[in-house]
Amino acid sequence: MSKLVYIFFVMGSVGLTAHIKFAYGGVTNAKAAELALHRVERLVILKKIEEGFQYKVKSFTLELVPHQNEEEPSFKATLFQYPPKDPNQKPKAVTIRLDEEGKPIKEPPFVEGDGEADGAPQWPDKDPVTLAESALHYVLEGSVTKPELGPYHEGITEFTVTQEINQASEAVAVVDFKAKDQPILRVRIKMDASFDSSEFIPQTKE
Amino acid sequence: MKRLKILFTLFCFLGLSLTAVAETVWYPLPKEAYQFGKIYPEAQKLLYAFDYGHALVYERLLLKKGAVSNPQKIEHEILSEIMKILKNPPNVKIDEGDIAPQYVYTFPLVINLFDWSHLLHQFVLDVLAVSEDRGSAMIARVKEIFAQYKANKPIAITDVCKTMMFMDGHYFSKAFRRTFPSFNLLIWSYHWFQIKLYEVLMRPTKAERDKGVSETITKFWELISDLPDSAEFDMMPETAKEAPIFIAAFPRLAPAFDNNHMLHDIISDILTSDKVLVSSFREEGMRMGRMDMDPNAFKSNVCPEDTAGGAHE
Repeated sequence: MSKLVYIFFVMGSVGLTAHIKFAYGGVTNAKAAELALHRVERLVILKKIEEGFQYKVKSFTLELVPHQNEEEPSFKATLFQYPPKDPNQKPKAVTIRLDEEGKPIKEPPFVEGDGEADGAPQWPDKDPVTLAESALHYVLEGSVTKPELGPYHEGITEFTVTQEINQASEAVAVVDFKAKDQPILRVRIKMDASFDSSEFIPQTKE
Repeated sequence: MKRLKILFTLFCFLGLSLTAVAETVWYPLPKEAYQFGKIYPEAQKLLYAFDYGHALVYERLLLKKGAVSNPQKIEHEILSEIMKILKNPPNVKIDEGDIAPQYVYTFPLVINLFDWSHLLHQFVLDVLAVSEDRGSAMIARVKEIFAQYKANKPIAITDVCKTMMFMDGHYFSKAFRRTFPSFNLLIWSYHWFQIKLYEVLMRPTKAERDKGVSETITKFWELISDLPDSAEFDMMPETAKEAPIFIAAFPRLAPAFDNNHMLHDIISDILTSDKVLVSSFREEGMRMGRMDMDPNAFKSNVCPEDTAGGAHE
């Protein structure tokens, strides 16, 4: 009996060690998000997925995937277009899976949804994926000197991209980042992809 | 009056020395110069072919500016030409002025930056190829070469890490990869090949290095075998990722190489983008070249090379 307990203990420890290694090895969530966006851009350029995934983007989610080794899918990234007019239709979405190092898994992108995006803003200069990427760079680069950005670097779970007019009466992209137990990090990016401003917004309880 | 004459003479001397120092002439040549090609002729000839291919693409884009109605057709045509060059590469470095005169005339600073940086690339490969072991003598020799490179400040690309926004954060950015995806992936494959050579040449024995160079050549041909699908790059290959052993030994060389590669992409974007007028090419080339030399322009806070021990080299 005690041998069995010992074996289970050892197996449990090995599993735990593996879990810790893989949970803390590899890229952060923000880096995985950036790499997923790079893949989406490539897929659009090569016409493997439609252009709406570059120009009619509304939101992005990132989930951690339980895995045993570093080459297995470790992140599931999904980019959503604006929802269609018809509430019975689903918004178009593309899902990319990445390994622990942020390398996309060799598989076709998973595309779902059937409704044409409705109400997506016009982007006069850079597309919303590029602008979201620029906001991610603010997190990736900024967390070195601004520790308050650290939780987003490590633990971004989703973001949305919208448009507003800033205090200087210029149109800007508003990228709202969410991370667990953190206020919303709002990053404003100018239309040329340069940084405008950032602030924290308390999350309202749903 | 005498003082004025002395001042004038000093001024002339200063001017002359600055001019001399800005030349892309590496003098005296390192004793290892061009030995890589004797040991690995196939890889060396491919590197010469890349220079040829780069210049050819730039010249064609420049000459066809504003007249590209069917980018896919042009891409296909030039790609066929480049494939012929890659399959039958030159034995010596081609003078870009001979095959791309308009490009050389339009981007004088950028040409100097590339030429000087390419000499650094070449001589580092030469030292890695001829050194018996990977020990302190080899490392010291590469550092000497790097120091000589950096001493020519007017044409030395900075070795401080830049963010990818240096490449992708301008009004004309990404035009090349969106218009000519196969060209772009071909060029990223060139960059991958160069970086990977450094990495495999860090292997401890000659036999392992020979095998590494041979595998890198094979992989390169696979990457370009069915463009754009065959080259699985979503972003420009980075030295830190592709050559971790190399950057552990020479942390500051990696940003110097990556900054060179980013400038290649920037020039491709300038030449392709509808947003840049031909009359602005020279000015934009100068502006981007200066940024590439400026350690503070687009400086990255996240530099793997710094953590590899090169922060205060």
